[in-house]
Amino acid sequence: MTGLELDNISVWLNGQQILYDVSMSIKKGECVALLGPSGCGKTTTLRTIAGFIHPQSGDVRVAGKSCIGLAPNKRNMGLVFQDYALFPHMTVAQNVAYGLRMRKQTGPESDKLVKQFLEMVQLDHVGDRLPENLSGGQKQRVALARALVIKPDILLLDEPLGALDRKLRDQMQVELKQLQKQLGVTTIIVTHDQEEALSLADRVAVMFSGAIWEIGSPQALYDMPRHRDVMDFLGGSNLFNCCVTDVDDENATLSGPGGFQTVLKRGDLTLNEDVLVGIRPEHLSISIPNEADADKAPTLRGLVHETVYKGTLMEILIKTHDDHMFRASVSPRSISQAQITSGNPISLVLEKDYIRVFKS
Amino acid sequence: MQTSKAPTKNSFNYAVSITAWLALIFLLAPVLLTAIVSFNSSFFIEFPPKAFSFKWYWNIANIAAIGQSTLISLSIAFVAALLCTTLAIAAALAIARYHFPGKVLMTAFLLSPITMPMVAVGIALIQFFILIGTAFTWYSLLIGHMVLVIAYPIRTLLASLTLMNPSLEEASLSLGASKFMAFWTVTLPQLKPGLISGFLFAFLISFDNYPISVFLVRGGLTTMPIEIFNYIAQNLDPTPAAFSTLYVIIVSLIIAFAERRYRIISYSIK
Repeated sequence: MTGLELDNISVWLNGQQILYDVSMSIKKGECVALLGPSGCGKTTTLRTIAGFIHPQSGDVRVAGKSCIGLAPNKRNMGLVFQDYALFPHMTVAQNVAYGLRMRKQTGPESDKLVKQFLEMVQLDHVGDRLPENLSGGQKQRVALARALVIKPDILLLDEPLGALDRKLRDQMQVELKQLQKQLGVTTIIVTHDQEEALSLADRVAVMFSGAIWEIGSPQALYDMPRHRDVMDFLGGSNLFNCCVTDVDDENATLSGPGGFQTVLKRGDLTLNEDVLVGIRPEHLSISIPNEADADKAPTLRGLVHETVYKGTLMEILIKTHDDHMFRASVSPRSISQAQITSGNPISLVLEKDYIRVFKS
Repeated sequence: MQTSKAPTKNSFNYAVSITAWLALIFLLAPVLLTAIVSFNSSFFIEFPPKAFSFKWYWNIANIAAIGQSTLISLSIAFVAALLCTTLAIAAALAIARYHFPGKVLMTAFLLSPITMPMVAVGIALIQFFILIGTAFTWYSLLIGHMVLVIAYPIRTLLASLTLMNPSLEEASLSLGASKFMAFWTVTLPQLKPGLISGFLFAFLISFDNYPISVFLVRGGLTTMPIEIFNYIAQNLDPTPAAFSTLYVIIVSLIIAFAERRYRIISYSIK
């Protein structure tokens, strides 16, 4: 059952087109992240769903019913703002009760709901405080409780964890995900933080310049991106130019920098075509030169340029003889210091399944 | 940790604070002098005072004209401030939130009485009121004062509106509030400091205005500053000094309370 459908939404603001035919279908209870750099239109999409922006064309449907022309206060959507937007002149409990009050629900029943939702975010002890006396994480939870207590059809989160420090963010990520699953509320998260998107959402929609480029499960998007920009934006990546140097009926041979050569399914590749090849740093591993199976797996050869220790991972920059830089992330325990001394020759094995080929 | 400041900066700081204190003394000295004179038992305004006495304070009550005109001034100032603050909410919202043709012109027009010579405004007003046949009434005096003071609440409310977080109203709408309820339960409470300081400014400016009132009053319809001035013109005793001292004390208390409670000064300095 679909919870929310966006059907070819286009938005112009001040004579400039901001969204180009944005379409997306979200299942009931699903959590989708809109991920993209600033100015990509993700916030505009969120504000269009909430009803603050009226699209020039297209439709927004909640449970099959169009809500174009419906004012924001008639849409029953819970919105959590980036700056939380807690009402400064109301106590925490009054903030949470606000949506109920606007629905003419007052008295003991509303009090019970407010208490229940404050307990849910573990803040029932601060109900009498004013928002200015709360920490950032507490404000975030109050905003969440306030948006959820009205039993919204859709929960909209605008950069929900952006204002929190690292440790709190990790903790809130887990709590937010649990809460979302527990309540089964259809959720849209707008974020520019890929880690937030990948860890919170069931599916991630990557947006660039006003359009959704790719949508899929976090793992599919990360491992098998169909666009080079998506690969480039999500996580680290090595992108390099290759040439199709040989084709037969089934396979194509690609050749690139650092002696890279691999044979892949041909698809629609033609001889002498230039393509862009991408692989993630963690799918490169160090091999001992002249190892027996080295000629089966595609390899790159170069010199160690620099190493960066990152705790759980060691990042190695390799410079090939034709001046291409590659980045490999390996476990520090799997390598010896001698292998990664700057200037030493090194060869890298590419995991063939994770090699992405993009037509230019 | 103690870091030594550059000596030039130190002496500059001293110079600034000494200048500030001198300015404060310059502003306060006449008020203090008035207060001292008001407690003098002498029948004339003189300095230094000879003997302490409260009698000029009791004398305020004996001068009927001052009492009556103060009541008129209070009623005009209160109604003018109330109406102007209400109208200013609409004006400030329109200026701060919407784009419409002639907005800059309208803003300048609404704020202009502050910068216009009051005598010119007074002459214009009385000519207008004579023309429409309503001159020298309580209502024409009220409207004259409203023209003068509406600029103050507009200014303070514009400051409050620009300081307000715009997502608050959207949060209220998204939680199911109608536009009116969002305004009533979220926007208006956020504007409280601007409303209070705007009201106080309007009230106080109207209450002791002389140059505009002087054109708009006749006979029994007079205001407090005009009666005080008339009294000084005809008498030499310190009763007006006593009245002024009382006035300064009451106003200071009101402003101190409003600042403590609503932090109005931080809003009106903008």
